[in-house]
Amino acid sequence: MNKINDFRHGLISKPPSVLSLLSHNFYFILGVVILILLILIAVFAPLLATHDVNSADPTATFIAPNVNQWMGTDNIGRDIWSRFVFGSRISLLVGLAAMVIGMLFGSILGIIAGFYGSLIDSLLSWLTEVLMAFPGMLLALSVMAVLGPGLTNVIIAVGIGSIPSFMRMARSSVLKTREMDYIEAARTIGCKDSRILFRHILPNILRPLIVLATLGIGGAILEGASLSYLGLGAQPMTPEWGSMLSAGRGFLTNAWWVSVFPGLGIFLAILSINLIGDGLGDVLDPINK
Amino acid sequence: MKNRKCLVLILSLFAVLFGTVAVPAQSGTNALTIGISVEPISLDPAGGLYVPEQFLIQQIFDPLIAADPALNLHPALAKSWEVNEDGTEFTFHLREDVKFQDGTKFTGEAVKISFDRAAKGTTVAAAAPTIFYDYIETQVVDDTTVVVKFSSPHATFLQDLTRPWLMISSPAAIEKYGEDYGQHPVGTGPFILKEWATQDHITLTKNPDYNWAPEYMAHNGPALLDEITFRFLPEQATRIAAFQSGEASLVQDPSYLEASQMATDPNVQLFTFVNPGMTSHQMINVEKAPTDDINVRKALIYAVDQETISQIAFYGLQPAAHSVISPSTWGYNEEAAQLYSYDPEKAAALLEESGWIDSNGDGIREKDGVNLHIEYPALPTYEEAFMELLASYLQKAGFEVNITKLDDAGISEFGFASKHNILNMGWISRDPAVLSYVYDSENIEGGNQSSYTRFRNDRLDEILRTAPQTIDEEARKALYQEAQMIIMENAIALPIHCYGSVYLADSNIAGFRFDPEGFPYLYEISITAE
Repeated sequence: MNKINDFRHGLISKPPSVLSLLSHNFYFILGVVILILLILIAVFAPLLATHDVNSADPTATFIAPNVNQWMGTDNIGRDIWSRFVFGSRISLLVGLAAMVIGMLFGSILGIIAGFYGSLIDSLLSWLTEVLMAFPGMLLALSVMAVLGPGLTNVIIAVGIGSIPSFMRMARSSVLKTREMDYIEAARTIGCKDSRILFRHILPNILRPLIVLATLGIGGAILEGASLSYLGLGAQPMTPEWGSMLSAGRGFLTNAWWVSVFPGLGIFLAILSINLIGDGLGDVLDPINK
Repeated sequence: MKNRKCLVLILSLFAVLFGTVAVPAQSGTNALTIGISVEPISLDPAGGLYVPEQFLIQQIFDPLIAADPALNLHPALAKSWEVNEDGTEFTFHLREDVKFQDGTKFTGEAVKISFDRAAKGTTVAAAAPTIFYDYIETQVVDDTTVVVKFSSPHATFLQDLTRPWLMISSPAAIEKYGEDYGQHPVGTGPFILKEWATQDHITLTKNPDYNWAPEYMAHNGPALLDEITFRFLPEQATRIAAFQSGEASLVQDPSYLEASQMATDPNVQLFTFVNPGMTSHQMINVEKAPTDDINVRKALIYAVDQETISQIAFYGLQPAAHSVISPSTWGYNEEAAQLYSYDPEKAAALLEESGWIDSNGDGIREKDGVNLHIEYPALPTYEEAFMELLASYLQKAGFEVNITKLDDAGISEFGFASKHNILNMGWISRDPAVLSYVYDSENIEGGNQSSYTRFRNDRLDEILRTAPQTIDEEARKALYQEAQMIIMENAIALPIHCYGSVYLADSNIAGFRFDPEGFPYLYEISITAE
């Protein structure tokens, strides 16, 4: 009845836009606000830092948070706020870069497997299953064991660990999409495989991949921090949240601030990204529409 | 009436029950639990190398000769001994009244079997074969006389004998357990292995027959403790927690921050000991730029404030070091330790003299467009406490420092490939002879490949090769003092700290005393009633 009315008035009721749906999601907004804050901190780190990140001051160790040192100082007298600020760059970068690697390679493999099917699909799916049989952390640890310690290697390790989930997601989306009429049509008029893949299929499978990537960044930050906590990631002197957390573990009863603030940073980054991911998932996931 | 009788009976039954329960509980108070950091791999004297092994082996086994805390030698399983003029033949007269813990008698044959095994070593890492590098054989003259022969003068042998690696095993037990002997050690010592629960604890009980303690011990006869449990608690924080909760009344190497704070508590005793041997120092690579320049090497040493590192990184519990040898070592050269002291201005002057100047204002000195860069591979197990502080001192002096965290194998590989500028070294030992392991240039490419300074100096090599064979004590001492001087004058070692043994004990632990290598004589320890 309504539709007829609308039609008569020349108005077609559009489904509400993604943005307007999101703007009503409180948790999504909260996530965005926190993340923007963290990104601002990361971008303006040199301006926000009040001290040199690596200059130790043996006369000012374990100073509790105060007006000059907002987050206190650590065991060798470095300013934790300044290290926290620079640490945000590393953690966000690790999360983002690892997800780019995972999404890029995972999607490509998934699209190839889904589109060509048969032997390639069986082989790639079998490979993913093997990778998925290992817990993510274990996989990352084994990759680190081969590559050696270092931040770049952490990014690669966490990225590799996330390839299987992207590949599965891309593959199943392609399987659904490639049976659509418009793909058949494209094939009939003689489009090349590459054109069909990138012009017709890819845009239609991006949404679930974006949701997965958003949620994955949180996991990647946590995994990166964990590897650094274990001493495999960021090398000494680098202000990385995971390694800062680890460095403070011996002083928890005496100087809680050494560990708590970097821990809080990790917590906020992951919380904000998960809130955003959940929000996006509600809106973008075709099943929830 | 009958009921009442019944009640009395039940009550008395209870009394008996509780009574019997109470008895072992009381003797349980004479048991000590010690929190140690690392689980031993093998308790076979001929197979051990590491600190936890040393601590346990010397409870279960006895040496031929024992050293008191001042390093004086005393008879133990050997009543007396003679050395030939060359220092190649050592004759020992053994005690006749000693029994192994498995009931077999201690004889000269046991000494021969133990030394033959020690010379071969029963594990890859064993320390004993290094000591016995020139061992020929042990001759059993009779049940109570043995002669040990070496191919070259072995000046350190009498002192070596007091160490755990040359303690005497029961031949019957070696034969019985074969390859598993390291898990079933049998000696003549004051304590007997009772139980080894892997990854949890080792329990020793006292040897009731023990009656051959060296004369410098506070008593003779069986040990004062009935039982000792060594619990493996790898994390410093866990050891502190175990101590605070009363789970362990003696802990080794606790978290220094908490330990230094607890030292003022009247219910806690803190014991510290400066270990002899090499200090924890950075070996400086003379082949890789920029440390191929002696001015840069000297600047590295002047730039670091060891006293502050000792306070900040170790809360004063590991004293600052100023030489390659610790002050508690025989033959320590005070003069070599006084060559350098913290002086950032001198460091700056030396660097400028060599043309290292910060021209672009980034805090790092350059020369010909190259940064003053230091490659520093670090082993977190030993260096975590100070590595960043050390790097920050170097940064302040204008160095650019890159720390790479590696494991044991990674460090050796990095160092052998000469990719490092500084690399940490340290070796607890009673004698400066350890210097040859890492300062003899033979060990650069060959040997143990641990001469990470890559420093070649004919005089230093000569000293390190002749001193171990110099029988005259004064001459030997002079040689090692010269060696320390050569090392420090050429600025190939950046001293950081001395190794210290730190123990926390409950106030009711009595009789705590350190042996020459920083372990308590558990034989003398007792638990007093509170």
